[in-house]
Amino acid sequence: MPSENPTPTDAELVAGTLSGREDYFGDLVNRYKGPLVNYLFRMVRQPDEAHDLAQEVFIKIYRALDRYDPQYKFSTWLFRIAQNAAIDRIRKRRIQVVSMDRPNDDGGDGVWEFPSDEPDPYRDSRNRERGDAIQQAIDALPWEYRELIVMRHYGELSYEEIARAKDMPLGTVKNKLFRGRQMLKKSLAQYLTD
Amino acid sequence: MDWNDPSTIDEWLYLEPDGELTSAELRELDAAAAASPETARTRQELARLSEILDASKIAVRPSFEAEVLASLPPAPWSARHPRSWWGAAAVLAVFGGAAALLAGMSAAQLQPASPFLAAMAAIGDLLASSVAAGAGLIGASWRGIGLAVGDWLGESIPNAVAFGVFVVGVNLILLRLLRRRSRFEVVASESKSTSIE
Repeated sequence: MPSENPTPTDAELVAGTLSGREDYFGDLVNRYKGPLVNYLFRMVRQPDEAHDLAQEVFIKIYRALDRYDPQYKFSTWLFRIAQNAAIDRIRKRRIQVVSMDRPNDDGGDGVWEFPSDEPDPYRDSRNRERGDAIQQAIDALPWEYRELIVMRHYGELSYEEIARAKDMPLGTVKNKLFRGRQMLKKSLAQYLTD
Repeated sequence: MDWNDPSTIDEWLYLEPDGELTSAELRELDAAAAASPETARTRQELARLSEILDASKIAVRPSFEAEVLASLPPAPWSARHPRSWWGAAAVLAVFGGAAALLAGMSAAQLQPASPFLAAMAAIGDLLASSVAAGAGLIGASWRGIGLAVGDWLGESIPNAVAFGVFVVGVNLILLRLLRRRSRFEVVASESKSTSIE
């Protein structure tokens, strides 16, 4: 039980919540709120919307908590639900997404097109220009690379967790992250040298 | 460098920021970076890329956790948890106890188990008898009034006519009062609008 262990596992916190301790679910929220909000922010581009969506995801998780299988990682389950929620939200917005699931005819990958006139969170920061460049570079990535890059860097998932969340072989995840980073490195070259 | 066909070192360069390399692989990478300025530069750039991506994370609003916990609905699984049955069990126990007490009192009427229970049963009987007697008296009173009025009306035609006049008169008085009230309200509203103008 969590009280006996200084750092309870996710499965222990889930079991504690199911036994009637709501504060254990609070621990889970606290553990994953940062990665989840950041992951969703990179998907939907709006900080407030990302927070609202993250809240919805946690509520969905809470409702279905008794269906959680401890043999799988909690993070994998959480991010799979988050990914579906983000895609649903984006579809509702009717944002034009070119081939999210399959490659284009020319063999390349669909490009995430995400036009937005909303305020950018970096406007007030000292590194506004760099922030804009990062966002543009991420937006310019093909969907399948972008998704994995966001999962890795903002969702803070390991390669294995990404592979499980996406039902992909580990090698494919490594390869896609490799290619995605190559593209990012090229796009952000001017910010990578001191 | 051909990025479409990455060599092992190139692959390691990209895996390193994620902490996916073993210590042996790291040592080999160190050696490769020492031997090749281009590898060293790429390594540095990739480390910097990870840094700037990390730095671009947004802060979660402080109230987020509290908001989530406050908006948690009653989960279906919580209804199946034993703790949720405690309240229902407590209510059941209270009703059960009350039923047992009543049954005990009824039994005491047949065969008093203690002087207290016998006294309580007697008080109960007294109250029940009083209620029955009161209801009987009220019923009898109304029946008596009805019979008396009926006899009086049946005695002669003038009595019946007088009663009819009495009923019509009362109705007329009530109607007049109502009309007077409505007329007063109209005058009051007219005077109010005049004073505003």
